[in-house]
Amino acid sequence: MRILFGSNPRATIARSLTIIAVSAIVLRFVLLPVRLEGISMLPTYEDGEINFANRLAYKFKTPVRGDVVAIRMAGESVVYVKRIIGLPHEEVRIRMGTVLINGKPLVEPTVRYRIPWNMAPMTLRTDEYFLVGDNRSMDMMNHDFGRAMRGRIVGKLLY
Amino acid sequence: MPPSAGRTIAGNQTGSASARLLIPLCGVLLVIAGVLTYRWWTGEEHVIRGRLESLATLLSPAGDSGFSTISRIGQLRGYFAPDVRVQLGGDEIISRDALLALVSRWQPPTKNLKIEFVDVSVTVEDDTALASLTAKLSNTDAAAAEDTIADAREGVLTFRKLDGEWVISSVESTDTLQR
Repeated sequence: MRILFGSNPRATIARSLTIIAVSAIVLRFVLLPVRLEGISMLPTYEDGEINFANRLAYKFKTPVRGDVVAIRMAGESVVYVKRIIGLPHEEVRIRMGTVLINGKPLVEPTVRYRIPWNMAPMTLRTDEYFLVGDNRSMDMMNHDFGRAMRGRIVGKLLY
Repeated sequence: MPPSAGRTIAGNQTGSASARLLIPLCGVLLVIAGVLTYRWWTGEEHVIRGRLESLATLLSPAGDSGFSTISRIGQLRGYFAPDVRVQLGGDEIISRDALLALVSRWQPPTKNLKIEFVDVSVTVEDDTALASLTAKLSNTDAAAAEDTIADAREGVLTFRKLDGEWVISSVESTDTLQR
């Protein structure tokens, strides 16, 4: 027992309770643990990687192009992890694998492999963002991407 | 009497007074918690959540054999209204028989698949109820440390009461990312 609780059991219990309370608060209100599954974010993130979504990232600023974010489904048990490529009111189009924002090609240094995807132009509404994974070598039909409302963005990935 | 002794006596009196208040307060809180738990346990929302859990188990093909598939399809009949309408992406199914025929023909890529409904939120209104949820399809390989998610879709299920049982009258999938 002495090994478990040390010379001052009260202090040990107080420290343990503090750590538990702080962890619970951080995991509930600040960070959402995310285990990435699938290949849609290759080569940036490998299948099975662990990361955290920072819930506070957009409390005082808006999401910007290039941010990798977690997007909730019905809740936060399962989330998508995608990169923002289109911002509100912009026109997004994909032509032969190249993303066009308001008609201009988007430079995407994080995309290494791509096949010629095509998507008709789409204008984003207020509070809408266009999200896609970095792996464009997948068949377009097998890759979940598209627009989502700001309210669905849980937070920005930490690293 | 030294001043410190007076303070001790006053402190003890205050302590016993607050203890006298604390005991009935705890009792009242316990009763409220008990009533709320009882209402939740016997409420329709709890019943619907239970139906969803057993539906997920029935839909999961893990360890399924030919005979149990027939039994499973028979049990699934009790979960859907005869005129159930299912909209998954662009496809639509508009009867229970058609839906069950589709389920019975489904050949899962592996027997280790498990279906779960997570993030379930239920709203009950008289004889109808709405459940929004995420349907999660996981690969439960015994050799792997954790289940891996094969697919996940969010959707809304409408329930209605039929002969005293909650049955699903419509299923509509929602595109989290819309094109």
